[in-house]
Amino acid sequence: MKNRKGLTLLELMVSMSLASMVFILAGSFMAFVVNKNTKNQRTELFEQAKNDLARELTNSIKWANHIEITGSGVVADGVNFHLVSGKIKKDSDDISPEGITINSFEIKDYSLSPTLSSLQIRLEMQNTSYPLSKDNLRLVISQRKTEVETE
Amino acid sequence: MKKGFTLMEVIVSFGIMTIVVASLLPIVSWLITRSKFLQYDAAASVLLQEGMEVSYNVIVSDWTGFLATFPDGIYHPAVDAISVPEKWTLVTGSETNLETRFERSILISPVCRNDSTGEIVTGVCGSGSTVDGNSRLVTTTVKWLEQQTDKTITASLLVTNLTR
Repeated sequence: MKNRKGLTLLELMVSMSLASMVFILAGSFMAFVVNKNTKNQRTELFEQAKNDLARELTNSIKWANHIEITGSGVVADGVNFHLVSGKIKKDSDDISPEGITINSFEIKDYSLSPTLSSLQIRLEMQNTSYPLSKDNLRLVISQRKTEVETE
Repeated sequence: MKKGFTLMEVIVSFGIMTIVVASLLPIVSWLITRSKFLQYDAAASVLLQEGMEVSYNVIVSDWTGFLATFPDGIYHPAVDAISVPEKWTLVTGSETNLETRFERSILISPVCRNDSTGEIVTGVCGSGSTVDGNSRLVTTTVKWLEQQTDKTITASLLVTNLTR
């Protein structure tokens, strides 16, 4: 018989346990990175939504001459910002990004003078595909006085 | 005879691999914390804006009432729950632990203007310049701790009385 030397059982076991250690470590590391990446993507989507909404609402309300709070939102110089089935609409245009559902759009008026509005806007939002992933935006916008008054 | 690896060689190669992976880990953790820090930046700027908007409304809505109630100094925004309907107000001192992390203060300071040109003079009012009773400088600061170091964002707003 030809003397072909194979692996001993011990060698096989040692190599298998080493290989499994490597796989487990690499696998858990990959899972961790992928998980973090998904979370980061969701966070970025929320940040984008907050940015978009804050910019639109701030620009419109700050420089409006007439502001009116309605049951579903706010009207600034005839432009109606309101919540319709999970989306914030500017008249009929959707200004909340794709993938985000807005759960509530609350507006409180804390102005000191009836002629100069200062609104606190609270938006509760969630990721449309992952409803457990939630965030909110609290924003204060004060109407600017642009005309000189004489008493 | 074909020689395989000795156990020693395998262990050494594992050691090297561990060092390589361990040196990559800080990069991954840096990427993760960085995204957290960007979130803090965004939250801080919202708080900064809130401070500015509230003080603007308090000051401009009733200029004389504001001057009488709020002498120059440090304040923070609040809702006056006693008045009906509820209104914004300013409370003396800065506020801490905002969203468990941030400290916010609003500094209301006098504005010094050149008597002949009306231009703003920086520093203390001296000869040829006086404090303008129809202007106030509002400086809002939001401060927080990020990896044991203080981070601060500041914005200033010059508010003038348009009702005269």
